[in-house]
Amino acid sequence: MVFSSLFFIFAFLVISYALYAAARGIRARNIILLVSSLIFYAWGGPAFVLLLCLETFVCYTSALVIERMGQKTRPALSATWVCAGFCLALLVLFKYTGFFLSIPHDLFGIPEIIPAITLPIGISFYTFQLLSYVIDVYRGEVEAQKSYTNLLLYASLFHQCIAGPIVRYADVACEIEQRSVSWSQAAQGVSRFAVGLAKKALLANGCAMIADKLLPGATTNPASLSAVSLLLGGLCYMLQIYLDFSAYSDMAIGMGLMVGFHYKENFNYPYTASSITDFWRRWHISLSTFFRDYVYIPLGGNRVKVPRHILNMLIVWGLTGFWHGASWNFILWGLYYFVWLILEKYVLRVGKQTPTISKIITRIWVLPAVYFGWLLFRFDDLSLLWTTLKGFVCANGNAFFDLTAQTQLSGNCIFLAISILACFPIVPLLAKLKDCKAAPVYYVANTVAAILPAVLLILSALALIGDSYNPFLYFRF
Amino acid sequence: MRNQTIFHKIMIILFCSVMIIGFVLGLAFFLRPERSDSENRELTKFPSFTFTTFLSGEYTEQISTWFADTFPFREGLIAANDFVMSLKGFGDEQFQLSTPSDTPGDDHGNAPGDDKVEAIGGYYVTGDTAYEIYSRNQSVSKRYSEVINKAASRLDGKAEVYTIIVPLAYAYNQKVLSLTGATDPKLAIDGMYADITHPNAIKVDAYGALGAHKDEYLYFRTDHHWTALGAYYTYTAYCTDAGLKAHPLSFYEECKFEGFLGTLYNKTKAPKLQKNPDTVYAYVPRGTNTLRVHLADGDSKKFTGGVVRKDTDTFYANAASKYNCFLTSDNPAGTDQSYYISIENPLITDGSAVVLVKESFGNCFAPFLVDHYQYVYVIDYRYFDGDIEDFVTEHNVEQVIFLNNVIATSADPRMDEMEGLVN
Repeated sequence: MVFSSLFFIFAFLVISYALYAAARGIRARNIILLVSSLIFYAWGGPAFVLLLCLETFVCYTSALVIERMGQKTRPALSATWVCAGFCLALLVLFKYTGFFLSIPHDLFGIPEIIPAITLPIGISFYTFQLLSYVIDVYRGEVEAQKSYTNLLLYASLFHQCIAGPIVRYADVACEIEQRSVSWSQAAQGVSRFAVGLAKKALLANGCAMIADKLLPGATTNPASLSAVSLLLGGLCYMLQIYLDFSAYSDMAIGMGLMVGFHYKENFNYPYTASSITDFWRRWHISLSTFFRDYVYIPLGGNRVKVPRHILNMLIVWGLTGFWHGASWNFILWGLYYFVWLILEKYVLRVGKQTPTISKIITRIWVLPAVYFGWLLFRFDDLSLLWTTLKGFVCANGNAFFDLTAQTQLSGNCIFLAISILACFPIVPLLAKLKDCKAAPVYYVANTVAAILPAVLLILSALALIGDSYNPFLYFRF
Repeated sequence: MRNQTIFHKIMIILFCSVMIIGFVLGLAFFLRPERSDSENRELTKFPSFTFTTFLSGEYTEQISTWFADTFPFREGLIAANDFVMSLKGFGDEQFQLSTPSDTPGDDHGNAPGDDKVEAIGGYYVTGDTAYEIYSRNQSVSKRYSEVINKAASRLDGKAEVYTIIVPLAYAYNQKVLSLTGATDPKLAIDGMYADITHPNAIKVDAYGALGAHKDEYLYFRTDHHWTALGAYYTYTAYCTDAGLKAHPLSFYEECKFEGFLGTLYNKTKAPKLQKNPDTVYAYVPRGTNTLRVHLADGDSKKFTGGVVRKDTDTFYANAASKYNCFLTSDNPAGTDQSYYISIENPLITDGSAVVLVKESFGNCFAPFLVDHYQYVYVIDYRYFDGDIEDFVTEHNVEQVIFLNNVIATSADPRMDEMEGLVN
């Protein structure tokens, strides 16, 4: 099931939260959340629920054992490694087997047939969550959860199980056992959820439609796409990927707030970044901090000699890329950012006291660099990337501007303007008006804010009726 | 700072109200539509449970699809969404080119991937007119010429073969031709006709016949079909070639169905099209207005008033369905079986017989044949499994007309079906 479906909004969520509200006591409420989450997860195929339960069970018992052994002791470390190895092995088995077999297959024709393994949805997210839990128990940062169902709730909670953010156990450990909701928090949750839903259903889906129309596919005649069409297609993809992904995080955070969970922000307006380094502090924060805390820092981080630091960066960014999908283009995409970050760190000296000239340079290149990065991210067939790049300079025998570009631009100009604005912190800025001292502004702003979520919900629902265009980007994660 | 709790409460109450309304509507299964006339398709059915589909997740996924696809008041809600979407930008131009592999082509409500999908090149909307456009597929259109040669050769000495390839509306609009870069239908038709070399094949110049009247209402603006008037001029060209005397248009009783919003409207949802719907004019044959559908299992169904349905405004009340007035649609009996249509004119008793092999463009052409033959047979080759020579022999047919719009001649599935008829 995906958040941006009518069934989720008008059936699943209503029933689940109505039961939740009717239930008394944290135990009953947790059971309702857990059962809802398992149903939610099972919707795309019930078999993989077992995998989720099994992996959680292994981490649950491991954590108890590790805690008993004593934090940071040698046996605890071994147990942590065994457990992490098991989780990662499952991840590799389900996500990367096909990819690893395809390499000898392409080179030597062995094996002849690559087994088609279905990727259990969300496996990358919940595996990382469970890993962080076990490692944090080993480090003594959190206590092991005594209740299996509570840990299962943490791993499977439908808010974030299939599309993030990667919630740390430490962030919700207390709230699993005790939480409360105020009107103000619930209202915050409602408006966050509605904004996320609208971002997905109205903006991201619309951008996706234009991007799919204008960027080349396997059967496209390269000469038929003009340079402006391709550039616009790339822009829409760039918008889509942010709006879509951050919309899921918004909805997760919103649904969490409605029942008293506080998840950390996952995106902080990444397209306003002042450098690539800054971009990665703002993009998919829960993933970058995961790699920072569990890979980069244990490897020594930047408190090592330069060559070792570069190696550390290479490992982290190779893994970051690979996490996004079992395909070469994702690895290249990660390495692409590795190069940028090294360049910024060692050549332009971006850091605490960035030289002015570097500030100017990084500010200018950050968005074009990210734009190109997304093209790399999109095409697992790299020849299509080449086609697109050639098309930008009219080297496919294509025109610079054509009727398609013209009609797409004129027919979507308002939509594109709104989508671009949605990437900038306009809403938080306007939200400040709610606290304005002048009475008319105060009342208007608060009234609009009160009505807006319902309006956005209606508009989103309209867009989802008839089961129209609604891509889900994270099946590969 | 003032206490904002009241606003928070209002927000939550409003939001929850919408959620609950959506929930209740979702439960109201008796309000769920089963068919969409504007999209011309059956909506997603509630899945039947099997253990395999349940395990694969297909069963539950289809419940989600069913839930959204058949939501109560869907047509009205979709129209509301169309309005919201019309605020996306300015200008009433739309242009969409599609490659042959991603043909949307729901000419008759078939989903992509369905073998009845037609290859559609795309569309261009300017002002209140939508044009369907196409790109010629050389190898497929060669197959069309071969089919006609083959038919002409197999029927040589038994029946004459006529081929009519109908151009699309944009063929007569230089501006659209050059703007869109679409294939010039004239060049495509000339090319195919040049490859049709068998002496028993007579090539009817529909392009010229229509071109002589190009400023008249020959094509719908909101639908991909031609009008009955377009078919009429082509019929006069056919009569000339076949040695028949065409009736003047005034010979027929004229019917008029207003408010037609066809396939191109439903694909583009262009507001200007919606404001300026088409009018369908239809011409009722004098000899008879009754047709009979003959099914493969030997059964047959009679449709009185079915050649040109005068009751279209009530029989096909939906704005999208008005073209179904001709022959009571492509598939009057709504059957999955192979079938053909016969129309017997009681005013003619000479035993003359013609068969029209067509796709939907032939529907508004067929009525004009009625007053020239005792028997008019209509084969929609997309729904017919038989062999043309057997058919001609069995029904003593003297003339066989193959009528296609130019897109069909570049569509692989269409040519597969046509080849099935003559091979």
